[in-house]
Amino acid sequence: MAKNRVVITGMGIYSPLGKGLVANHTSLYENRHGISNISILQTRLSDILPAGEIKCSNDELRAGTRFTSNYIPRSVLLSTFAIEEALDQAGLLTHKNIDLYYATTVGGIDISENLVESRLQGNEVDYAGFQYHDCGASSSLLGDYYGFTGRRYAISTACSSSANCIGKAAQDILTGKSMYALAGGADALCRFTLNGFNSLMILDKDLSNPMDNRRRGLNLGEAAAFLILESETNAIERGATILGYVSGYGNTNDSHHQTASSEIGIGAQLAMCAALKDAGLQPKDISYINAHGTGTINNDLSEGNAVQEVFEKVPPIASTKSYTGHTLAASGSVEAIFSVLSLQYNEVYPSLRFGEAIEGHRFASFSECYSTEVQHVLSNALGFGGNCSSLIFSKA
Amino acid sequence: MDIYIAQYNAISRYSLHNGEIIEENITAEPEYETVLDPRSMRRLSKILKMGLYTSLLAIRNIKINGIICATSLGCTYDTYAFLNNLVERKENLLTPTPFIQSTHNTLAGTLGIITDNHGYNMTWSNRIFSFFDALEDAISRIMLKKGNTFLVTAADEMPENIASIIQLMPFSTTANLKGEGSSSFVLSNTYSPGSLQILSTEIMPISILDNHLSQLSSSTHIINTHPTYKCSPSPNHHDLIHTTRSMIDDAFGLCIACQYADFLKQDTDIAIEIICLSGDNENASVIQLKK
Repeated sequence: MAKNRVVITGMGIYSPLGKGLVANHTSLYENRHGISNISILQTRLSDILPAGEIKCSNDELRAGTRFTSNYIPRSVLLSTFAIEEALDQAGLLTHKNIDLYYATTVGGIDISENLVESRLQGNEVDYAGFQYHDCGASSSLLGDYYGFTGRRYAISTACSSSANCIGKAAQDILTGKSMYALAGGADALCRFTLNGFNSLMILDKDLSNPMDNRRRGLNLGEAAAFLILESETNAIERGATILGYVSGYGNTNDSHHQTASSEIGIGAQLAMCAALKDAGLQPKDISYINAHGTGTINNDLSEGNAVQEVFEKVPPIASTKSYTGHTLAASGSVEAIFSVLSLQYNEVYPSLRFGEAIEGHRFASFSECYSTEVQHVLSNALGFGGNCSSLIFSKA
Repeated sequence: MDIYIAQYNAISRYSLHNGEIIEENITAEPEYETVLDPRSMRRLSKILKMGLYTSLLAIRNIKINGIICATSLGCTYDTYAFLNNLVERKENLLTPTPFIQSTHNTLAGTLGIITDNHGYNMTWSNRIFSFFDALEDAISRIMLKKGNTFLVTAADEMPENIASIIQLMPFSTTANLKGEGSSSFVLSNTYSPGSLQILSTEIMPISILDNHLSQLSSSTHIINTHPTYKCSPSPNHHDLIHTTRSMIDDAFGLCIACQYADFLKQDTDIAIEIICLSGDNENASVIQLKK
């Protein structure tokens, strides 16, 4: 009997490149990034640091939902648009038996940070506003909002969170624990993370140059992105369109430093190898690597070192964070969707503004989208805490 | 494939004395220096100290394939510290240390570094089900042959400034504030003398829980940490713990179950069966154990 496989039958995204798959694909294809001066988030850093900000206020976002409370986290509001697009594409808009694998690092801290500020300034505070602070609250809010009867999970492994949601959901589909999984995540820009990364001095004051020798740091971004996973048998039986396969997942730890990657990128090496083994593929089978590629000195050197250790001949490799900024917990699912678009359209998406290969790397990234046959895409997500995850997506 | 709890350790406000569950008002802290390096300890928040302590004790003499952590609120001390600095210094000249230690996966990551473990590393943060999800994750890794032995640690901290916010939230109860401590378990597919077998883990609506429990053998013991559900009175069904909602009571409940099984096993050769109950207002988590 052929091994049952995990298929993707729906995708939805709201990113700095736009609302929906079409807007995102057009941007990717036309080499158009979504980084700008910060104008929605109120922060001292708005004139100093550009970011991948979605130009829609919380009030405007909320108006497009059935939510009424001012305390609903921005990441949850963004999620509703992405989830509805994914459900619609999968033909599951009215389906309720769905397990939700939700990833976030900030949860409702965009709301909490304003309340804490009022509190510290001695102003009156509505303490009910803290109720959606925790990560699990977002998962519960969305599960209730759609009336999903399945399990609700919340994973928080920093920048690899939504990659782990997809990997974990895929395993649960394989074991039969889940029939329909909605996997992905969201993070909104907020002062907490903006100042956090600024205090680490790893933010670029201009447009970032990931995978480039001249890189100076990262741009932050915000997004929500979700995928519907189910078994191939189930998808065929109900006549759903298969967009691609989740064929491999690796999750490891770099065990080096809380925020920095080891020079040889041992965690990333092990994650990529584990994903290849899980998929039953060889390095030469990979057509395109969507790198984690944050644009920091440390990450891109370490990740590249790991890639050239695993891949004797490095396939086309790039970081689409040059388009969106680093969307933290959402980046894994954002880049999963970009990987599937790459498979669907036979295109590889570049590191925008790329000009110079990183010293010590025997491969170079590229600066413009181009057409080429794409069979398997490997996508990396590396995070604080040494968390390393790799996913492999394959052509339908 | 059978799954066993090989070793466990907890910093909890519950303890077992001669088969009686004792609940303290506050969680007593151990002498961390016996396990943790005193030099590095100064930088650690309480959740990290507690989590590292119980984890390192639970995995002593055991080689683990991965680390799975659960936390419902994460590193609240450092989160608040960074927010406090951000407001007071008006987003200027912030030190990164509290930010670095504020992410939910700080404990799992630090454990990875300390134990030099490059294996599976995961952090679940889903309110009252965080620990249950972590436990099921470990079981499924073992079932999928992705490793034989996993550490599962549930930890939460409740510093004063966070407690004072929760107290002012309109629907909070004081029981929320006790939700501090850490429980660690090593799950393995290998039986060793004294280990407790996990027979099943399930989530079910509270509405069918009565019916589910009534089908169990009348000798089954129940450790109940569910915030609202009360077991129907029966001589062999003990509601050993009754609290209102707390964050990681389910993990403490499993720890008490391990101790309770040891206590009961002293006098008998018959298999002991224990159910651990927890959950929220709609659903219950049910862990079935056998010794």
